[in-house]
Amino acid sequence: MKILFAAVALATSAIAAPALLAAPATAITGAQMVTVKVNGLVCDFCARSIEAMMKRRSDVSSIHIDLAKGEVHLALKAGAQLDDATLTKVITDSGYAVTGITREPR
Amino acid sequence: MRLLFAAAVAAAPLLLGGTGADARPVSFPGGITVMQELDPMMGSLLVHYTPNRHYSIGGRVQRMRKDEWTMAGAQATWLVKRWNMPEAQANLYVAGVAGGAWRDGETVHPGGFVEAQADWENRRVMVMGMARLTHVEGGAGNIGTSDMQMARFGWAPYAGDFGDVHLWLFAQVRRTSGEPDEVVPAAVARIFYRTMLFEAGVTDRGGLILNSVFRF
Repeated sequence: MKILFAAVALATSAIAAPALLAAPATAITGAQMVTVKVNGLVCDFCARSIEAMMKRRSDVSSIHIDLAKGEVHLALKAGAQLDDATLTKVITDSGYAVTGITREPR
Repeated sequence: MRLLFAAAVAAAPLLLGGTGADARPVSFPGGITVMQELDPMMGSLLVHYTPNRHYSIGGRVQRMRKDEWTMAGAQATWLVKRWNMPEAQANLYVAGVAGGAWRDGETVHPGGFVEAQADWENRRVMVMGMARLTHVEGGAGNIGTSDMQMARFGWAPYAGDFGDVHLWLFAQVRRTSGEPDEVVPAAVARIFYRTMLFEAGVTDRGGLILNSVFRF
């Protein structure tokens, strides 16, 4: 029975794996999730400026940009403080206009 | 009067909403960009640094392949205005080059150009245009004063997400003063991934267009 269960589990994993791999990379884990609504976010090549600016920061652990929704998703490191004013300045310096910031504890 | 006319002609596409050749001539603060262009008329290399989001500074070398002269100088590009809209973005840039120009085997003359470019884009449609006025002091013929305009209309077959390979297809029209074939239409495909951008195209006379941009 245990062997049968293991075989079913393995088969299920094999079927599910491609779907998991194909899932969009929007799932960011971290101490705090921040979603920034941004105007002008239409081009991947240009949005890389936000990524470059954020990667310089020690308080940001990962970033994902949703071009369809016009959102920047940030995961902050545990205990990191990145206030709205600083965040707005970084994105404004990247060439974009911030229209809203929401935060979620993990 | 001739200069005034050239300036007016050079500005015309902008008034009609056209834009520029260089994709994103101002980067993010601290960003370095390498931009290369090659077409039947000219080849150029621009390396620029962006101190802040409003302007970039760099060096340009430009070879006029058909007319066999070269220009090299310092380039400054100013992002005059950016419009960030919920589902679109538009930009207006002004750029200037100051340096020297020379015909093959001849002396260097002071020269440069002024350029304006504008663009509007959303995730599937792009309109670009630019106008450039070049002047070389003491030069003659095509190395004296000339103007060039270019306009593009682009369409993305799909709206790529962040991290995808993106494809754009452009219809392009370019006009250069003093050329027998003044107006040259072309089709150009643009592909980019992350911070690497490549363009390949062909003019209606079969001339090759190869451009690239690398951002660091």
